[in-house]
Amino acid sequence: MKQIAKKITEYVKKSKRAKLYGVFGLIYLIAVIFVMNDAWLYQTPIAKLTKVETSVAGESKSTRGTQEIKYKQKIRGVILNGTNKGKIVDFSNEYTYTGMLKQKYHKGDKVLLNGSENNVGSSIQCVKRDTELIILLGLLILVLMMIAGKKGLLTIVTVGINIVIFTAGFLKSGDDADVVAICNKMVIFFAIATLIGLNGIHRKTWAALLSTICVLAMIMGIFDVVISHSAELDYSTMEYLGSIDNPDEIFHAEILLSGLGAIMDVAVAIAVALSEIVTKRPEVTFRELFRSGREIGYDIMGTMINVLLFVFGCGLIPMCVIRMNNSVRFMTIIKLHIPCELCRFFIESIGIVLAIPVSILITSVMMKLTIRKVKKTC
Amino acid sequence: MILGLILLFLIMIIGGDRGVISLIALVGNMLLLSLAIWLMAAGAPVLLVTIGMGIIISCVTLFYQNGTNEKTKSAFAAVLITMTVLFFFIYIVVWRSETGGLNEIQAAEDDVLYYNMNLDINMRNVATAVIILSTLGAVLDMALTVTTSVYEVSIHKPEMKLTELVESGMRIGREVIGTTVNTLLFAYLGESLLLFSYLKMQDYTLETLLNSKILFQNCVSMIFGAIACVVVMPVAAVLVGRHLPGYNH
Repeated sequence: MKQIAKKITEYVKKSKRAKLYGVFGLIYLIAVIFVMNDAWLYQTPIAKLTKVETSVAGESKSTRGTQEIKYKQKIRGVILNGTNKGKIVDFSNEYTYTGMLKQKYHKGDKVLLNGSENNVGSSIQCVKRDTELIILLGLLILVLMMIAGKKGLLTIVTVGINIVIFTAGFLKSGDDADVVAICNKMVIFFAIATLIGLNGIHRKTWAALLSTICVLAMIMGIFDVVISHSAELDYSTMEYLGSIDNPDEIFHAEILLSGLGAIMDVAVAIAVALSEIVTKRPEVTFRELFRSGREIGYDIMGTMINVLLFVFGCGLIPMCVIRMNNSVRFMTIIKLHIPCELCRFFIESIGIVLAIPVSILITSVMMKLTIRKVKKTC
Repeated sequence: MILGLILLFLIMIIGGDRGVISLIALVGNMLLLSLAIWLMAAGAPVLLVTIGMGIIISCVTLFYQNGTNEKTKSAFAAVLITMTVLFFFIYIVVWRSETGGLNEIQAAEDDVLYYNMNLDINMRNVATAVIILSTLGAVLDMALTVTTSVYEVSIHKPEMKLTELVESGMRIGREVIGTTVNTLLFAYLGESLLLFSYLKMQDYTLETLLNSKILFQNCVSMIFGAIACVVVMPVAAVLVGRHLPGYNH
């Protein structure tokens, strides 16, 4: 009897899980279908391309001397929303094989036009990309929940909270507000939300939080000292600079933010591992703790810096490819075009490396102190 | 440049011998990345360069930094399988949404006007390359974490079954995934902070922003990075379980 009961409860548990996945899958599907047909929500006219004829329009010389093919497209589309719904419009489009500034359109694409509600407009503004965005986002959430379960859910929640904090802080920072001050506050909120969300309220969470903030303060100090003692960084080479008038403040904020995740990662890993050791062997000495902390630190350090390297390096690929094809030499790019990015990467890596001893120290002190207290009360 | 030197010293002081090894691997990866950029700029087929460089970078990171053994071999296989599957997926997404090339803001920058844009290099492929290579670091990290922990568990408890081993690997992976996803999130947020403040100054409506190339380019790398990290977990756990001695059924 017991076995049968066990089997039944197991089956119910499993089917509950299956049902849950089913429900989420259904929500996902509905969301995707909704976004595919949400043209009525838009003020901008949207057209679905029904006919696309592509022809070769000629060749020109590319930067490396090879032939660059030019294409011409005749496009016909149907308007999906607004007062002109159902109207058929024709456009023409030109693009090159490189597709740097202009792009190819496919049959079945939905595109935003450059007109207003009543006026269709004369050309295509951009492709409607929200469907793909939702598909990917949903897929990420689904995969996280299926494979990582409850932890995955927590991850989604913390990411959501972080994005909300980011948006809130961002909207609050007016044009003349102190960006660095707001960013400092934001970083503390981020750290609290992420660490508590992922690890719960626990002593190791506080240890990790404290070490994260210490390390951040340290790297900002190092950055300021180095900047004031060396040649001024030329902020004008930063990407997306446009006409922003306080680049140095934004750069400070960028450093704070982009290093935060990695530093928290290191701090959490060390805090969790050390607290495991302390709870299992309360008599462990500081030296032993330090040694095992270092051992863990070695393992993380290299890979964490690698993660940042790839995130940072790959963002530079398109611009580098363009510049190098316009006879700017690679060394010139490093010297003149990306010193800011390079500097940011170095500072973040320093933060990761510093996080190891700092969090070992803070965690072991905190763990040891509390254990002594417990002993005294006993 | 001074910061680079500080970093160098810190890694050597704190990391010791193994710090030096990871430093060499890091510099190697930097050089490989530069080589990849150089090859792409010279007109080599972009996707082939990406795949080749991806494999070489994985080899350097796993085998040089962590030694050649069952752990790194199965991590390598797991990364290879995951990235191959995702490769097609990424390419389809990039093709459907046509997110290659410069985004709206980059295209409006001053110095772009002086450059000749007929490169005879398909920017759609370059965009795919960017996404794949930028996720690679995190995926390698994740795969190695899972395989290492499964390996440790199997040494301490040799009587465990394959399914139990896989389950324990997944458990460790779950512990790590939260911070990894957040690391990626913050790295991209920090990178695009300036972009956001730029957007605020320009009058972008929500509609145009949601469908813009800028947002898509920034989000897609992050989302794919996270997806790849999650997917590689079970793959790595199963592979290392099968590779370990005593589990070769």
